[in-house]
Amino acid sequence: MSDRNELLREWSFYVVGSLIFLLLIYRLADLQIVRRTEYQSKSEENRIRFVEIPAPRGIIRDRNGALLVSNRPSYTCYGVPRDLWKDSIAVEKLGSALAGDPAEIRDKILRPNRTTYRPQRMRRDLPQTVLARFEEMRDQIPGTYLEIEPKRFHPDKLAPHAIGYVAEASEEEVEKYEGIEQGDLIGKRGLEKIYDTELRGKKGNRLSVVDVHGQEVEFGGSLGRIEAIPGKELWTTLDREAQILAESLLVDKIGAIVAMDTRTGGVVCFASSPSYDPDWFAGSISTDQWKYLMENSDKPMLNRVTQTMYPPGSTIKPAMLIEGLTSGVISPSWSVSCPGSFTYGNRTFKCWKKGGHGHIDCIQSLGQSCDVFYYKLGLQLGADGIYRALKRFHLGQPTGVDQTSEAAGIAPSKLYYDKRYGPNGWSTGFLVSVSIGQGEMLATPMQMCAFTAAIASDGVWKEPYLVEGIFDPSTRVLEKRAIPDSLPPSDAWPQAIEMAQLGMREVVWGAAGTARSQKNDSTRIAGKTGTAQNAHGDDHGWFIGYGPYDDPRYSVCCLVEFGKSGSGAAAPLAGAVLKNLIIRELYPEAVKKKEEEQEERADSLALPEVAAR
Amino acid sequence: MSRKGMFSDLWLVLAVLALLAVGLLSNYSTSYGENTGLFHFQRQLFWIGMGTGIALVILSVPLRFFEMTAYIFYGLSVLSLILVLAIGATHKGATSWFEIGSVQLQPSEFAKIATLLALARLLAEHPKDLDRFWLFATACVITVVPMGLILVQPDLGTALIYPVLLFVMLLWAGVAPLYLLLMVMPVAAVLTSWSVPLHVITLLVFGAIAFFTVRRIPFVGGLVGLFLFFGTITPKLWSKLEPHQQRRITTFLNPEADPLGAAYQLIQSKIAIGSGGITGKGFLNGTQTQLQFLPEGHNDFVFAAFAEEWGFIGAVVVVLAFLTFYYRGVAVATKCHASFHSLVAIGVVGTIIFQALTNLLMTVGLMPVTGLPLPLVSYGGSSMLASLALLGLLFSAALRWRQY
Repeated sequence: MSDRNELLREWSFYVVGSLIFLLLIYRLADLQIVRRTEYQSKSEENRIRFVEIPAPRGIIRDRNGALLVSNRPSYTCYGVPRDLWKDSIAVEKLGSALAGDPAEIRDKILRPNRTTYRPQRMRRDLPQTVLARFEEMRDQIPGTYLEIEPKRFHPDKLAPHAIGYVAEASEEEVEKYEGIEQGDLIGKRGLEKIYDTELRGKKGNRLSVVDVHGQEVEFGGSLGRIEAIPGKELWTTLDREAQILAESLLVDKIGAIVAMDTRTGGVVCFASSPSYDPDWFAGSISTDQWKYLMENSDKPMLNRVTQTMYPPGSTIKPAMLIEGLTSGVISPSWSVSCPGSFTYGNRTFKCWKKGGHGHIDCIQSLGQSCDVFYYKLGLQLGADGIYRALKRFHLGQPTGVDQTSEAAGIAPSKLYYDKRYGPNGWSTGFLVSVSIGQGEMLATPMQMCAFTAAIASDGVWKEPYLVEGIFDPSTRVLEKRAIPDSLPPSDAWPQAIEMAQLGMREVVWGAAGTARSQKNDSTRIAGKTGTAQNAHGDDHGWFIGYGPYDDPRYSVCCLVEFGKSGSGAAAPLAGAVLKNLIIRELYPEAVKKKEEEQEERADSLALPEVAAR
Repeated sequence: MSRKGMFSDLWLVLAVLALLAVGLLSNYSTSYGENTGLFHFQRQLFWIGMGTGIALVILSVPLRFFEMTAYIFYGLSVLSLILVLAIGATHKGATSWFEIGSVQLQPSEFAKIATLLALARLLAEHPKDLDRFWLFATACVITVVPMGLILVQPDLGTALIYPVLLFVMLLWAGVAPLYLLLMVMPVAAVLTSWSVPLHVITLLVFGAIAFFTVRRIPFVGGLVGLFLFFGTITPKLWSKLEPHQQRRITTFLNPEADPLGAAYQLIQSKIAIGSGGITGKGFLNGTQTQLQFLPEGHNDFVFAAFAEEWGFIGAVVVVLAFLTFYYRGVAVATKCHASFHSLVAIGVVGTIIFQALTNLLMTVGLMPVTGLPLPLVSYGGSSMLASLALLGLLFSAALRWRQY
């Protein structure tokens, strides 16, 4: 290649480059010198700013469409830290107006952000009184303004343990979940957590016109706007009326009531006591409220339906009977004679009835809840048999209900004993206790309710669930829960299931039944009581049941901590809930008529009062 | 080394130092108004220190070493691009990052350097074959492989550098004009296909250039045919695209069509620059930057943030620094005796200046928003390390210009 060509090449680089750089400088001169006043005024007037539009969180409904959780507008105070930081008197005033500690606002919110003009949230959910006080002082506090934001609202404060609550996302959650930013609300427990992505929706954005202090002003023109997409609705299987009843029955008691539709597995009632007010979490929770929730010895935040494990006591007996008959270790005509106690090796195990039951057959073993019958049956079943009996009804594993941190319970197997006590550290004597639901055996009320539903459905176990459908209000599309066409039939002997059902009928309808008080021709329930020994105080009372026995619709499980006995403490509560569910379903006209009568009476009572005013 | 040579390299060093200082000042200012404190500023300082160390290591190694290892280095970088697609992290929609602890690295930045070295070696090794098609084709393959992998990520802005790098190095090596036109004419055809008069004028200009440089009529005819083929096929392909795909392309070419996205950035960027006036609003007093009206003020729009606070004078200093870098860089490439050294120098200058101009023209609203950072100025570890490594190569060529 010639030198001339090389020179040409070099100069073509210089010329082309220079031209582009000249164009750049020309453009800069045009923007910064010729049109500088135009842009300077634009910059001073630059009042267009992105404002987030919060997405309303999805509504949660009961199975009839009644509201369990919705949203309500609330006021949030925002402030611009760089403006506020310059004015210590204004910070003082803001502190007193928001009823907060001025030092806290200054040190926790303003100091870390003192160089930024980006508005920060000063306080969520201002109560009316605080709002009025703030409005009065607003002119004296620069760089603060109010935004209306939707806040979670619980009309009847129902089922807080199942529904859970929302609160500000933690730093870890901001890291972990896409689309969650600092200060956003996120589901922390229960349905609110599990279905958070569906409920959350998507934040929108709009360009808003603000004045020099960052306060929004009215603007006629059209500015860019991306609407928020509201969160999807959860259509749950809960029944509002049954839930109200269950929660009122549990007032001043510690325990749980859970009920299922035996035909589907849908949970219609999910009550845990003591309870708490979910609205506390919706805005800003006070230190007193937080202290109560965290430090109260009765643990109001604990979900006693799915998170607490108890020895199930005699309520486990139907499972043992079914396994005994299915595996053939006993025949349907097997019977024992109960003298009131049973000696195995050098230990004596007592029956709950001191004088003994005398002659007891399979059906009466459930009806009168004879312990000696099950001590003997348990020994015949052996560790493997007992484990099979429990495993058949998914005991010892989480039910899979849509709840956070569900306890698995314990269905002890040989492996379990070996692990816990060493291969030679345990004896078959352990089985005696387990066969009446004591000792190593533990279960949650949710597990016992699903177990009961399975007995009612001829042994077919169904996974309990709370959310039946997810409804998108913007597209009006309902996404229904996938229900399996048919479940495999139970591996239990059909006659064994039938005997267990008859035994559970005997509990309520038999002359010596342990829950005779629940006898009612309209509801026709069957069930089983249980009294679980408790090392820490009075015995826990259990009742499991379903009805009507000739056409099962609902199963229920009730647990009352320190209730002393199942028949005394738990059976009346469980019976009332079952009665409510069954009567309303079977006799809707009668129920309606009664309600109308009550309304009329209320109206006639209210009238003179109004007149007097 | 002659005194004149020392002097010209000193200007190069001064230009680089000025740009690094501008970057640090801007990062200080933009992080000042953020919740994160001086995070960006401190990180930037760290990257500069680390990048300078890498540049010094490169400077101390003979340039011949890089010529010998060019293909190995290239192979490794292609592997790392494949690896990042498989196991990389995704940020802003592109799978282009390795995460090592809290540090994120973009292998595409380093693939750029490897491709540059591989092309320089190829073209320097075969001075007699510069007019041969196989050499052109091989150079194209070397460029297209990493470019394709980066397009898959997808990172359009970074991929754009590759054809430009290839073109600059082919031009500097002195390949036959036919090949250069073969690259340029289809692009020109596609870009002008939306307007018939513009299309015809472009065709005439390129036809004339082809006629006077290529000279062989069948080849000129072939080039014109290629131009017409791309010109006619583009509208047809366009109409076959789904509306949302069309929208994505028009938003890229004309960001005003996306009022909440790129257009907002551009408008705010122009207001920031324009309102800076002649002398600027003063350090830490740029309202556009401090009030957060200007998005990405530390990154893609760093020049706007700087021009707001330092005015026309400051902006021109930045532009002049890049211009000085450009002139003195081309001068280095010119004076090098060895082809490899010369090609490496021009490759470095071409890469950095192309990125700088793309970013600056975008910031002032003369080019679409591509998302390319301003080299040596924008915040960002991979970009800073890669730029300083490139500078290490350039200074190495400048020091060893007498080698044959």
